[in-house]
Amino acid sequence: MSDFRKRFRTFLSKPPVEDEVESEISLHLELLTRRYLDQGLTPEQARAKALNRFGDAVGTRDECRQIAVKRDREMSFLQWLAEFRLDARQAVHQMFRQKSFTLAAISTIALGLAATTVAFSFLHAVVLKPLPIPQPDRVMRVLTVENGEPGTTSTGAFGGWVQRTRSFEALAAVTGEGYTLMDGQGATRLNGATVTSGFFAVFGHRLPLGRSFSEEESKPGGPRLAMISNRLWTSRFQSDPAMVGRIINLNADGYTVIGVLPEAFETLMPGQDILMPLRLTPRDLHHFGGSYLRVFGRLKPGVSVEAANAEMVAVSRQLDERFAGSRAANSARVTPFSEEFSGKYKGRLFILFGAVGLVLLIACSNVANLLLAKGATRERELAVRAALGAGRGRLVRQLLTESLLLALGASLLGLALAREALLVLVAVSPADLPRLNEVSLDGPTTAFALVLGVLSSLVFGAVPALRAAGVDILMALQNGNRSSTAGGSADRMRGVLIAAEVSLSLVLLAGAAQLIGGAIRLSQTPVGYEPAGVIAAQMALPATGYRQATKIANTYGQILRNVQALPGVQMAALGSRVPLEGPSLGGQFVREGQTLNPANALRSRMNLVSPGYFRTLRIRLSAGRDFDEHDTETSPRVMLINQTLARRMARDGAVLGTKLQPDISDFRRPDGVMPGIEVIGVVSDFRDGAPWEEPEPTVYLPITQTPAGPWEWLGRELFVVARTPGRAEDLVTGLRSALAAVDPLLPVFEAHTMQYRLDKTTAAIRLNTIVFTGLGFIGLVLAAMGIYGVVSHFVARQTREIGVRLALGASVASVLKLVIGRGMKPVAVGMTAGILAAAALSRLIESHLPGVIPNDNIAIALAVPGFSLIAFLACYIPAQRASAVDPVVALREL
Amino acid sequence: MPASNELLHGTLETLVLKTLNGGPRHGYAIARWLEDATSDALQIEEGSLYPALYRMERRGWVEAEWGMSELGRKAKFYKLTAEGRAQLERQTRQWATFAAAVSMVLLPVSPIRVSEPA
Repeated sequence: MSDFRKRFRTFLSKPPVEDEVESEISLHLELLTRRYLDQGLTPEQARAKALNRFGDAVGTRDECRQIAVKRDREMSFLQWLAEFRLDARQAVHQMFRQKSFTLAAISTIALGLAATTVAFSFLHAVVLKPLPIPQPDRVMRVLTVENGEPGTTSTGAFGGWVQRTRSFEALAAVTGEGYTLMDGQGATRLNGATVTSGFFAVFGHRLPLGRSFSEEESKPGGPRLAMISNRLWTSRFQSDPAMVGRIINLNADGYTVIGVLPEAFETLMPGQDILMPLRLTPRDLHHFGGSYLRVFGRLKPGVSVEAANAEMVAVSRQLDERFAGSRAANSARVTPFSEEFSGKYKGRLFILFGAVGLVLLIACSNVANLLLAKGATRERELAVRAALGAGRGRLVRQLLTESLLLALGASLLGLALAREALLVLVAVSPADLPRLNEVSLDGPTTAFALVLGVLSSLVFGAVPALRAAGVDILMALQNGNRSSTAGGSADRMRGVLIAAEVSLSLVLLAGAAQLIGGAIRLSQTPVGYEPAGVIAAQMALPATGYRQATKIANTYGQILRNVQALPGVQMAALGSRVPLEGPSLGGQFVREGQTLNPANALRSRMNLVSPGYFRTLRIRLSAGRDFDEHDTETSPRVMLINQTLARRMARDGAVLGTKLQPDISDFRRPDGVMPGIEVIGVVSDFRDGAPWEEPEPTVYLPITQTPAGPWEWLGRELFVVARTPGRAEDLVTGLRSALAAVDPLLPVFEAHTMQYRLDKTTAAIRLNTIVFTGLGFIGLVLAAMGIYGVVSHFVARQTREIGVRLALGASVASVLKLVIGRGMKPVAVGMTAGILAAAALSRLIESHLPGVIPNDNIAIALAVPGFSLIAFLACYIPAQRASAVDPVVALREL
Repeated sequence: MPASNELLHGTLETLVLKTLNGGPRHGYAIARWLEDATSDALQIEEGSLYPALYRMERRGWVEAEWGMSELGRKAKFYKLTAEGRAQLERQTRQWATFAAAVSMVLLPVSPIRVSEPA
């Protein structure tokens, strides 16, 4: 026998440490004493001499005890390790011997693990991972709340906040701007941001190259400086190390590049390639008219979000009272930047995570059932082991080791599946999902998958292991693998598992059904305009040479005429936005003659259009007339409104012919009078935003009558929309030449068909639906497999009973009824629980995230019979097979 | 001359291993054997054997057996393992080399004088 095993045996039978050392030392001392006694000393002398010869008995005892404790600890560990290795080797043998079981178990769990891993990797990249800025939890977005609506901030408000608040280390204002970059490679349209000098104090300083603007440089009249994004630097400028100091041509002006932004910036502000200083004049700092700034701030250490929020609300009120006059409803709100960044998707991703968790649970209970069934057939083997001295704990450990190995196999398979799935899902995800490019099988995700695998092994392995290990030795050895009747605790356990699976599956299916219903309803919602055959492209005029509103309107007018003259163009028009794309301007209006107060304020969106815009998109006017060539700069001011606004106005007066005064200072005439603009027509409501977004009250102004202010806010950008009987795509080149004819340097960008824009928006919904339907389907398949497996096992064990009944004269039908009844009972329980759970859950989700999963009881009602049918089949097939057994054969097994 | 225990520390283990080479013994028996073999020249504090024995047991050079002592009580007997035997051989060789080297310095053999014939 090996040294190792012998040491174990000794180790097992030895006395505890204290006794061990004590008895050794006392024996030694006693023998020594005896020896001296034999030499003739007195007992006292002998004892003393023995102690002297021995040395420090107490010290020795303590030292030996310490060493012995460590020795025992190491022994235990080595023993445990050896046992584990033994278990693992046996488990692997088992797995290979029962290939079909192993395959079924591994693939089932792998499916659940893969789905969960995929969901986690999205959740981790988009929501959980901290943002790449120093102390991201201190960075806040400060919103202006106007009449309860949170939104952008005016320059005056920003100035006031900077002056009067103490909660922030730094505040920064950001707004977007478009730029045309021109160099040897041609003219490219770029998006950019203009920021105040506090921007880098808020978001962090580390730049790969160069530096940021100083406060001095950000003052009005300062030098023409720009920073470029990392992406632009690497792609357009080949990571030129001498980038700093280079002059680039933006919007027909030269700008000196003073720095390159870090890669982290692309995560924070995706798509922004140019950064320039936002120059606020003293006039701006007292201008509360247009609000287009996004304000961010970094909290001072020790200041809480609530405290900052309270301060901002108070300061806003102060500013209102001093400067803004009628804007008594203004307030502010402080929210964490991370909320703003991923808040839109956070809820959805967590729901998704919950759903895949359900799938994993279903998979685990399937495998648990399989293991329970297998456990029943191993009763004899386990009984023999128990008889040979293996304790209950040992047996449980052995069975858990088997589960662990299964789970590890499943983890590997699951990771492989997850990798493939991620490739597909990332490709079809909505493009505005933040940090989509970081969704991958990275470190944390892989670690998660492995840990989850181990946990699952406990979930599906614990119950079967405990059950199997509690086997009654004598009974098992006598009965072998045959049990006479069904029932008993094993079957009850299986029944519970089935019920659990069924209810979980039902919840998933109900969710999927609701989503499908929602998607169908969505696709049937009329959008109010006709996208087919329409192309829209965006154009911009630079600031230089286009400062006057008249010049802008005339230039665009000429461009429009060129476009209308193109072959293939049925009709064309201009607009500040098109459905689904473009900036949203807004403001308040009041009936002429009234003073603005919260009761009569007409808050609405504001768009600029040319005559024929609505006709091009096939949007009807429900009253009045469209703009025409008579509505010029000098003719009376006119406007169109949409039905939503008309309905609001109709509540307290006439609509058509009424004059409305804008509450926007830029509209004031040079003589100080705020003009009243006459409502000459009402436009039918249409879905200007996403198809599920209700139309908002909107005002349309003619391009020819737009003052300079709004042009500034728009960055002098307009869309041209053109309808063609042929293919919309073919029109793109024609558009470019139409523009070039007016000014060869003008860029055309975002030239797409309306249908393309519509499809892109609904893509996210469709993805949602596909994913949840897929999950629901997987859940259904797993549950059906589980039910089938359990029932057939159930039934197989009842073969004898069935045979007896048949022999005693029972009809096949009655036997079938009995067996199927037994099988369907847990299914029925599960369905009831599932229906209640599904209803409760969907109500919960609806209250937190309206619109994601519409509350729809019809869907649940549809899922139930579908599921019942599948469950019934899963019971019927094995029962039918069992009843076909020859009763004689069945009886012979008695 | 009483020897200090520190000097004997590592060597003590080797001595114990050698003692056990002749068969399993308990601690007292090891002490007596060493006393005989060295004519008590070393005067070892007998208690110090035990920590050494426990250390060697932990290292796997000896293993414990429980047997009957002279007094009729159960006693812990130590037995040499295969690894212990190998250790004994190794350390014996090392000691021989060490002792020879030190002896060459401290106890040089006087050179043989060859007298010149007159």
